[in-house]
Amino acid sequence: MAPYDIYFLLKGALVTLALSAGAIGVGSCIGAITGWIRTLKIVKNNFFLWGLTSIYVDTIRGTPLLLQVYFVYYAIPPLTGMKTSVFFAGVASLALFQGAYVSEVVRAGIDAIGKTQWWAGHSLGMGYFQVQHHIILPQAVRIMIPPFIGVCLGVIKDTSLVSTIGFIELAFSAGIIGRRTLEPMAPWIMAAVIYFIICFPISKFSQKLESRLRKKG
Amino acid sequence: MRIEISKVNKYFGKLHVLRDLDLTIEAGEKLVIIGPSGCGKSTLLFCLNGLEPIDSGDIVVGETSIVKCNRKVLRKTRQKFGIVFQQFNLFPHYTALENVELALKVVLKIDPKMARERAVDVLTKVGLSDKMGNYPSQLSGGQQQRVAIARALVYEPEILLLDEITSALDPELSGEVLDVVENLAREKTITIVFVTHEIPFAQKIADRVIFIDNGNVVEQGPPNMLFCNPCQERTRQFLSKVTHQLNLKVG
Repeated sequence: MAPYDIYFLLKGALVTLALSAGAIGVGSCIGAITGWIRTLKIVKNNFFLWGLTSIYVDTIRGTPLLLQVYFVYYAIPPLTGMKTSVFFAGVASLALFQGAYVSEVVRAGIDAIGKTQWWAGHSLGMGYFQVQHHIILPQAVRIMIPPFIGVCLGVIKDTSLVSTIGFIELAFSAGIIGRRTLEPMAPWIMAAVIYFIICFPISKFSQKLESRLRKKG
Repeated sequence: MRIEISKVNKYFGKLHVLRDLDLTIEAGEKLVIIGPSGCGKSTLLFCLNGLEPIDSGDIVVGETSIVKCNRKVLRKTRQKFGIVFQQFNLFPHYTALENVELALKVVLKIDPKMARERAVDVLTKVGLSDKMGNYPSQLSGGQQQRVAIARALVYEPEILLLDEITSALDPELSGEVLDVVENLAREKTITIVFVTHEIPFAQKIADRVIFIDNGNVVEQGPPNMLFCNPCQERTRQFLSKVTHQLNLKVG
């Protein structure tokens, strides 16, 4: 591989990083809000509200990401008249995807903290939000970290699917180089190594964070 | 502070836990509640400060009905209660000291320095002045339960609810917890409602003992009468079972 190819590949890696950061950032916010809303009693006990949030979560979790990317890129413009760029379609579909999975992580994390902790808080005269803020969330976040990081790593790797709508990120770049040089092995292996270099520190960081939080009680 | 419980009914789904239960707890009274497991005694305790909502009837604490009042008043009323749970229910992510001072800081919003002083005082009172920086997971069961007692005492409550606070502890550790309760019981003004199977201890501190079965009060009276000379057959059965176990433990 020529230095030019390596430069091209690294550029692709940067695009992948930007795409991942955008999708994870926006998606985590969507997921945190959706997941939190789904722990509220008013939503849980209300058929309509629960159904509304479930449509989002279950549709995304029940269909392939590839089709979601296609849908956002090809179907949204004619349906809404909105023009979508490749980057917007990529970030939007991945963010929605991340959001649905994170919402379940958040919901499960909050629900995992038992009734007795709520009791302990309420019996001290604390209100709903005070209990949530000081007692439930600090513990729930600890439970959420590993699955949350898992979802993030998944999304980083799934950014490669956005190449199918012509988005030149890391995987697409590797493909271009392979087709041009007729030596596909080298760029693909390099791309894999770069994905690994991005993902590995994140999972290491998560483990460290977990063990640090575990030390506290 | 007097508590009046009238015609209280409570269901868990189809299960009728409390049946038309009437009970008055006088201010300063040390009341012990005994009964077989599943009879509703813990539920009754949780209903007293509104942790478990009731389905019908009324509970009046002092002058306030905690059934009819709004949430704000309920939260205020809860500060008159201290409750200690069977499974401690400490906040695992806070140290002993933080567990105790949390409510002062969050609910009363008093100055952190004063909150700390008060928390230290209470922890010293339960004999844990050297364990204040420990997390619950670094404490023994007895120590954890004493932290929980300290947490319940931090508001200087008028009513203390104790829900089988020694049944998760082995006998050696339950002694240290009971000592703390015994000291508290010497205070004339505090009302204590104690759900327990520790009959010898109940005999020592109780003004009145009630036996609950099937969601209602079967029998009540001073400890000597109820333990030594119960009127109802059901009470006798229950006591013979409990004391039998007790004898086995001692023997």
